[in-house]
Amino acid sequence: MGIFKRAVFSSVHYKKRFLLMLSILLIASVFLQVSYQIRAAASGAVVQIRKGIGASVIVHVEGKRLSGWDKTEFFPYNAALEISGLPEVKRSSYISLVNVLSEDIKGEEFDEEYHELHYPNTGDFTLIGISDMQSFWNFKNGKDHLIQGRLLSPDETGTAAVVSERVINTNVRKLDDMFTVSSYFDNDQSAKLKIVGVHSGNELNMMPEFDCNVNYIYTPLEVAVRFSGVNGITEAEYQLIDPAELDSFLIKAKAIADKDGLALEFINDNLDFLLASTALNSLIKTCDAIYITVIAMSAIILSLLVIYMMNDRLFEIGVLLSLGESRFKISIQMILEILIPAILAINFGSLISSIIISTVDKAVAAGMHIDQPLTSANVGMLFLLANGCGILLVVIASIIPTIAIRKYTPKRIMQTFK
Amino acid sequence: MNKVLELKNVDYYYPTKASRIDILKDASFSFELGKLYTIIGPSGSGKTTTLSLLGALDTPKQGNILYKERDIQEIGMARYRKDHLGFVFQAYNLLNYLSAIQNVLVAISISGKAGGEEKASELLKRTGLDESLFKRKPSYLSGGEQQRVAIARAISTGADIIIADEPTGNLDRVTALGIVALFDKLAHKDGACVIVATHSDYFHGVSDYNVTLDNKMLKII
Repeated sequence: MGIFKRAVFSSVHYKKRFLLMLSILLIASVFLQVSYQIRAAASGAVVQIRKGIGASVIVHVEGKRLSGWDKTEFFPYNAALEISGLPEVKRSSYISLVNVLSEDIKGEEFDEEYHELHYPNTGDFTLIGISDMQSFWNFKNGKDHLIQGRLLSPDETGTAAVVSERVINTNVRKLDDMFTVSSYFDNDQSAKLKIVGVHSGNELNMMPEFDCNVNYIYTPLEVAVRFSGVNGITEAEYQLIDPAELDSFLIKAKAIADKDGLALEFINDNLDFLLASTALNSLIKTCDAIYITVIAMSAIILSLLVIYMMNDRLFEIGVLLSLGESRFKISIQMILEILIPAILAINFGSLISSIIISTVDKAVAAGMHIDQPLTSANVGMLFLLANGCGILLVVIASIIPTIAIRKYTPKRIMQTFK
Repeated sequence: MNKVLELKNVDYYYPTKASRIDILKDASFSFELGKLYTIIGPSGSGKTTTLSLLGALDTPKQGNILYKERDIQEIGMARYRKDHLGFVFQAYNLLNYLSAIQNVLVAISISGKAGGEEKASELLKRTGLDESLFKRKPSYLSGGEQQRVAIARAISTGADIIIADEPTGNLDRVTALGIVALFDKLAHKDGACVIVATHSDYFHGVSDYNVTLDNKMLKII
């Protein structure tokens, strides 16, 4: 009749006590396992959102307004390319704004007094060299759109140009016509551009004439880079693979800028990710709080239950001590009597929690518009967690009886019950 | 002389607020194997305290208790109880979630001695318990039957000292005499040292020595 058998017989005999402990441990087990699964689902969702939404960083020269008028607005294209080679970068796009002059075509000038545009101006235009025209803010936010022809393809080279409808009409031009522009910064720089597309332009732009959308000429990036006189660009945007790597990217990018002696400003744009993930991060924190609360409350309730049990078991402990049983083995028996229901609770709890979590899993995935389940059913991890927490609870609940047993003297117990 | 247990200059008292109540004062006495001792006296005279000291359930304030010339505190109180002692309580003190035979098995297991269900059965039969009662839990046994189980448990470890505190206290005369006969056999046939504390006269005919507490010391009367 070893300790384990005694523990089993005692548990079977004192059914109410056993069922009470089993209930407490089962509730704790279900809460813990469901919380873990929800947390895992939320964490999985955050990772998927992170990679789906991504984050971007816009880089330009510090303190400079993008006018296209000032050479100091530009920073080296090579530096921008070096930054785009960083492992965190998924995609990069560049813009270079330079002011140009044309004698072939004239644009509109903005009359401040009458708040309207007049044709012709002095031939000032803003050349927007761009690597990704469709991502340019004017087109992204609908301020500008294509009317005829085509937009520039991403990373297009050559001398294609997209001019405004107003310029086409007032200059009586059409698609495939050529016109010449020359750089403000470098008199030797000129280019013959071919009209491949017509954009709407937006007359509501109240900036000076070279900043009116109607006076925007979109060209491949290399044209504007050449016209900058310093092989520079005005702005770069880097899409990151994982927003979590934002800090890592910034450190490396700033190191490249510092190495080249560039004073660049880095502007993070991860608002979409933050908005999307905030709710899920709160859920994760809530689950963590539930963990701690459930473990703490279960430990307290179990400890109180065990203390209560100890009073009932005093007589039995006294008998065992009088038979010569060691205090250590009696403590082990008490611990086993908690461990037996704990193991049952963990296994039953796994069954119950898996039913609950499959429902939650589907709801979270549906809410995130994700087809596959978010929880990867990491059974091994869940098993370890559940058993680990169960053992932790048993150990905590056993501390008081173990300490108490050390102080018992069999004589005092026998006297109490005599 | 077959001395097995000895009190040597033992003092024991209960402290009170004002002073203390002396139970034993410089008490010395020895017990032999193969003898049955009855410690007699009225309630509160110190019988249970004496048995507690002999049974290593408590420790003397002064002096020593020797088992075969060795201090039991040196041997280890739990070890002494486990290896050399069998204690029979007035209230039987059986574990109520175990059957009769399982209660005996617990003692065998704790002692670490060899023996399983067969040995436990044999011991219960020796005490006169009917085989049909072996698998019953204590709450389904009469007082006498429970006391037989308690005796079987006490002797299951092969202990050479059996201590019993009022073993017939809760029993009717017939049952009590049956229990007395068992103790008689244990001492005079099996060679154990049997020490019984009692205020009844059932043991008069079988006891080798009647001992009393006189002036805080143990004396044969």
